[in-house]
This record gives sequence, structure tokens and C-alpha cells, in this order.
Amino acid sequence: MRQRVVIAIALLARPRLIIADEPTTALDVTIQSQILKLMRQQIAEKGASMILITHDLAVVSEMADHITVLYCGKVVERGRTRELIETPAHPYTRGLIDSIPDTAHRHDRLRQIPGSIPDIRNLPTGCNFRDRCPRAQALCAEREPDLARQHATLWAACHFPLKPGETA
Amino acid sequence: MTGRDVPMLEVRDLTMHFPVGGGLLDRLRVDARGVRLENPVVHAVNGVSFRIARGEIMALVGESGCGKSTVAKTIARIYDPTAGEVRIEGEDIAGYGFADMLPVRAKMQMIFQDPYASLNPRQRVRDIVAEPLLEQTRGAQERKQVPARIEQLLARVGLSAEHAGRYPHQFSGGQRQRIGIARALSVTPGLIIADEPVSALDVSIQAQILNLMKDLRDEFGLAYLFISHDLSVVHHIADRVGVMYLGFMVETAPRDVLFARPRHPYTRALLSAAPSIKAKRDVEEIVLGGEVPSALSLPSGCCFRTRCPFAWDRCAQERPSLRDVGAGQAVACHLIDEPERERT
Ligand SMILES: Nc1ncnc2c1ncn2[C@@H]1O[C@H](COP(=O)(O)OP(=O)(O)OP(=O)(O)O)[C@@H](O)[C@H]1O
Ligand code: SF4
Ligand SMILES: [Mg+2]
Repeated sequence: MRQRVVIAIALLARPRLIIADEPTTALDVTIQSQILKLMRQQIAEKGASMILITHDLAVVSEMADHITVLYCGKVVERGRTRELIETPAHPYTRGLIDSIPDTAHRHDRLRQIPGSIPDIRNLPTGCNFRDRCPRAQALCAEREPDLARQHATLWAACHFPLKPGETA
Repeated sequence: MTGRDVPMLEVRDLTMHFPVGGGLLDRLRVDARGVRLENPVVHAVNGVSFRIARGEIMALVGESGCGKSTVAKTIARIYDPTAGEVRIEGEDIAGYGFADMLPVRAKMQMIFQDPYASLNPRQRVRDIVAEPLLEQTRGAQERKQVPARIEQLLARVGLSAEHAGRYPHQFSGGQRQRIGIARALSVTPGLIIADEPVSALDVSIQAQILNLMKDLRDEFGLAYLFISHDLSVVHHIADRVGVMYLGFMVETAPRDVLFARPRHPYTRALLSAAPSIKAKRDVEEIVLGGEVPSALSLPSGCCFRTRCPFAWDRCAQERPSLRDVGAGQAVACHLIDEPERERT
């Protein structure tokens, strides 16, 4: 209920841009879907733009036109939603998507990203993801990769990005 | 008594009501004619029944506040149930006191959502993990073997011997959950009650813990009561699923049956509302209006009727009981008797 009030206020002023930080995280799925629907409707009607911040890939993939993936405070990948979800180039994005249990194709074990998120006060040299990355090579420790165009709308910061169709 | 067919856990008509208020003024509440009013109670769990076989993973799902944690804590006897039976390998522990629970704790352990809050911050990891085991161990000879066993357990959950001397705050969320799992495993229980064990973890770490829990089940023949609000996690790990709403069990079924053919209107709404990274949905979303009623005053009849798109007058008059509909599925809904009402 409180969330709905917040959203109503945001929309009352006819804003051009709405920034929503984890707007439905504490909510139940049936209420969440009511609110997401309402937000989509309002944005379409009023022609507003929105930045949706969330850890929930399923929610962004249903809401967003474009997705930006952050790791340790840096953009590691961005692109159009379907392209990024279906053919991610960055091994971190790939790992995140593969970690989500798939209700259509059930496997006995989930793919997992090994290790844990590094301490941001003590980041590794080169690529922040290299300790956990299955594709890392010597170059990854030497030089931090820049965001570079991969294909169509997709940009990724990786020395050894995945090509469409590659799995890990 | 511990024959093959005796379930690891059987819960019958479990009820947990919390009185609220309870101060002097609350106790003096009277109506207009001076008749004393009942104290308000939170109807957290209302006559829930289910069983878990040895080595089986049963998941409990439902929205926030539907009573999942209360079921878990009542089974673990953190709460005294208002009514009902809790049988561990056939033995009813519902009336047990703390001392009676000692042998039961060797059979049943609990792990929690927030592994930090549930670990004593001033204890070293080796002492945290050893605590339930030491409680069960009598005799100097046996106690001498505890440290070696702790080292083994830490290795099994993916922690090293050097971790044993550290304190909980020196670990990440995923590692803390590994400590909680090692602690629960220390007494080689037959049942682990896991309340949202991966909900606080990053998805990439979540997968590590789910894989570990599944491996441990296969290795030790553990049964789990696995509580989660995340349907994709439940689909991955559970053999059977129970769906709760407002403190009632509204449907139970084997996992594949539940996901393919949910029967209760609430289960159907819940499954269709879950967001997914898939491009298209093959199911038409059932959008529920309204909000979950307060557990302070339950609706008459069916707990779901205030939001159910199919509700009719019978639903307000009569509370549906959980009934077997075949294929291991049980549903608490009057539509079972009048299926033609769904096609309108
Ligand atoms: N100790 C307590 N005293 C009074 N009411 C309580 C207590 N514990 C839980 N409740 C109430 O009982 C109901 C069920 O709560 P419970 O924590 O079991 O839900 P849950 O399904 O675990 O929710 P969540 O998904 O948010 O963890 C809620 O209405 C809650 O407010
Ligand atoms: S190469 Fe570097 S950027 Fe690319 S994934 Fe590996 S570690 Fe990351
Ligand atoms: Mg809970």
C-alpha cells in the first residue's frame, strides 16, 4: 500500500524521469505484479522515462527496454533487454543468468559462479571479476578491460567476451 | 517405531495463535453490554497438516506473513503450539519441554535466513559448529573426537581448517550460511528445517548453497522442510511443495504436478505472477485484486475468498478442507465439487 502511494506521488507531478530503487523488493509476487503493471501503464501513458534499480533480473527483464549490469561499482555490460538476456557477452552476466534456476529445463545442479564478491576497498588489479571468471587469462590481471561494442546494441567490458551461442 | 513407513516429520492440525496486547486494559475490554470481549489474536497458523518422508525435500511457499516461519518455529519448538501434533519419527513432541527436546535436537536442526543474526558473534567458528554436537556428547573419550569431526564438517561444506579460528563477522554471507549448515549437520540429523536459507544471498552465491544442500541430501539421506518465497528456487530443489495462504495450507502436491497443474486459484495466481527472464509466458496471468486480509480477523469460510475470482456464496459459508484429488495432490477449494464454475 505504501509503495502505491509513493508511486502515485511520483506520477502526480508529471515527471519526465522516475528513479525507482528496488521498488517492489519487499513485496509479495502477486502485489509486485500489480504494481509493475501499474508502473508500466503510467509510464506509457505519460511518456515518462524510468531508471529501475534492482537485483532481480526477472523483474528488469519484464520491465526494462535496456539493461546495464554493474559489478564492483563499474558497468560491465549494457544493451537491449532481450539481446543482453539471451546473448550476454560478459562472463559475469552469463554467470548470473545461469545461476537462476530454470523452471522449464531443470538440471540437477545449478551452474554457479565460484568465490565471492571482492571487498571494494581492496579490488584486484586488472579486471574486478577475474578471480571468479572461467575465461580469465594473464591479460585480465594486467589491464582493466574497457567497455567495447560487441554486437548490435551490446557493450561489454571484457578481454575475452562470449560470442552469441557460446555458453561459458 | 523407526520403520521405513514412519514419516520423518508429520504435522497434524498445527495451530499457532499469538495473543496481542494482553496488558491490563486489553484484558478489561468489554462490549456495550459489559460482556468481556475475547483478546485479539493473530491467527498465524490454522490447522496445518503435512508429512515429510525420509530423504524428502518439502518446500513451503506463500507470500510474506502467511505463516511459513511460524510453522518452522513451532515444529522446532521455539514456539509452543496452540494446538496440534508434531511427530518426529512418530514421536509427538508438541508438549515437550526444553529438557525433553535434547534427544529430538539430535534428529532435527534448523538453519535460518540471516546467517549472521543466527550465529553468536563472540564465538569462534569451531565452537559455533561444535555446540549442538557437544550438547549430545557424553564421556571424555567421545568429546575428544569432536574437534576432528568439526574439521571434517567444515571441509565438507567448503570451508578450510584455518577458518575454524575466526569469528562470524570475518565471513561473507554465503560462507556464514556454510557455517550454519555445518553446525546443523554436526549431530547427523534426519531433518533440517531451513527457513529462507538463500533469500539473503546474491544469486550467484545462492546457486552455490542450493547445490551444497542438494548434495548433502543425497549423501546423508537428509529430509528438508525448505521455506522460500522464490518459486524458481523451490522448483529447483523440492520434491514436494505446500502452498500456504493466511496461515492455511491451500494446496500440496509433488513438484512437477504443482507446477504443471496447479488447482487452487491462489496457487495459480502465484505461479502466473512470478516474474521470469523468459521472453514469453505460456500462461495467461491471473491478476489478483485487493490485499491479503489481516490475520487478526480471518474471513468466514475460505481464507482466499476476498481475492478469489471464482468465489461464490458457499465460499463465505463453509471452510474448504484440504482434500486428496489424486496424483499426490491435495487442494482446499470448493471448486473441486463444482468444477463447472471455473468455465465462466
Ligand atoms: N511472535 C509473534 N507474535 C505475534 N505475531 C506474530 C509473531 N510471529 C509472527 N507473527 C504474525 O504471524 C503471521 C505469520 O508470520 P510469519 O513470520 O510466520 O510469516 P512468513 O510466512 O514467515 O512471512 P515472511 O515471508 O515475511 O517471512 C504474521 O501475521 C505475523 O505478523
Ligand atoms: S576477461 Fe576479465 S573482464 Fe573478461 S571476464 Fe574475464 S575477468 Fe572479466
Ligand atoms: Mg518468514
